[in-house]
Amino acid sequence: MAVMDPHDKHNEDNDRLDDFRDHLGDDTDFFPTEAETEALLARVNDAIDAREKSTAVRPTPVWKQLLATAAALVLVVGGTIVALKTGMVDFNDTAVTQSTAVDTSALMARVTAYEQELYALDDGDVQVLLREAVSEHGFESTERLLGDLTEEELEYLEASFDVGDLL
Amino acid sequence: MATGTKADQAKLVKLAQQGDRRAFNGLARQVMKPLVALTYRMTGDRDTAMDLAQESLLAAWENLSGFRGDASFDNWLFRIATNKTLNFLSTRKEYPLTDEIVESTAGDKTDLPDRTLHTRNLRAGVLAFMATLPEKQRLVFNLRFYRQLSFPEIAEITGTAPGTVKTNYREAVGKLRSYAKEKGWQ
Repeated sequence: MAVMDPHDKHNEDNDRLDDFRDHLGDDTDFFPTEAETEALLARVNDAIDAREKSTAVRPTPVWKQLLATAAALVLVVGGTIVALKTGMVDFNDTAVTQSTAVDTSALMARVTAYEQELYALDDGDVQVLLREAVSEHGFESTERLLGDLTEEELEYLEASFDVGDLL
Repeated sequence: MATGTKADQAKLVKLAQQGDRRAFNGLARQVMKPLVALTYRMTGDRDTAMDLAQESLLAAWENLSGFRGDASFDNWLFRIATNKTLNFLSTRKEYPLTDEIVESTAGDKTDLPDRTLHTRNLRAGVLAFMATLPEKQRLVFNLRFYRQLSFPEIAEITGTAPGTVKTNYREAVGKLRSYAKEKGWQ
């Protein structure tokens, strides 16, 4: 007894299936009619149109831009008139401007005082400076250091600090 | 491919990609019958099938710029339709194919010759058989048995490995054989 090759068996099955399919013929029951096809296409096109309209970027018409500008102007002018009539704003009143000027000058004075305080050498600083110069370079250096001082500066030093025989 | 040569289809695709709606409608007409047949066999409901075909065509238009021509336009569209159909079926528990629908698919039996009547009954019977298959097997059977696509093409459409496609098809055919024996088909 001849044994059938599995490959041949597989082909035979496929052939039988093909025959069965051919026997069934064109499956026109599942196909849409011409009218159904056109109606479906019309719905697809309508949907595409609707989506394109909703996503299209359209420039704002000129009349809308003018309307927006006019509305903004009416708002500003109207607000000003109301403020003037109710006394919220008085263009003749200069109090506000003056008080601003006073505040500014006071502030500037405080800044200047702070800077002076920051950079001024106090007595302690001068003493330290002198001691360092003497200990490091001797009297000659000290004389060179003090040689450039004016008469007023020397008098101030004599009066204010204990400098011994240095001067 | 439904109708038209590959070159004609390639031209239409190129024009449609440039925004030519008439070219797109031409493509849609070419593929409409197998597209609706695919969604109809998968869902068992004509109105649902038409809706899914419509959604698929709309998605195709919107994503046409992404079509590179690696697959045929038909298969690319079938892939879209397959995804939409499987998504739809995943939200529904039952295949709506009842005996009533099978009867209506078989058509009016009174005026038909015996041979034609037998064929129509068989068609309805295959449809009823497909209702018994899991979705993936039904899809593979649909594309192979009716559309006669190759396993690699089906793999491309369904997004599964060709080996898996073959396994699904063999199982479906095995079930069809049992079903036919049970129903006494000759």
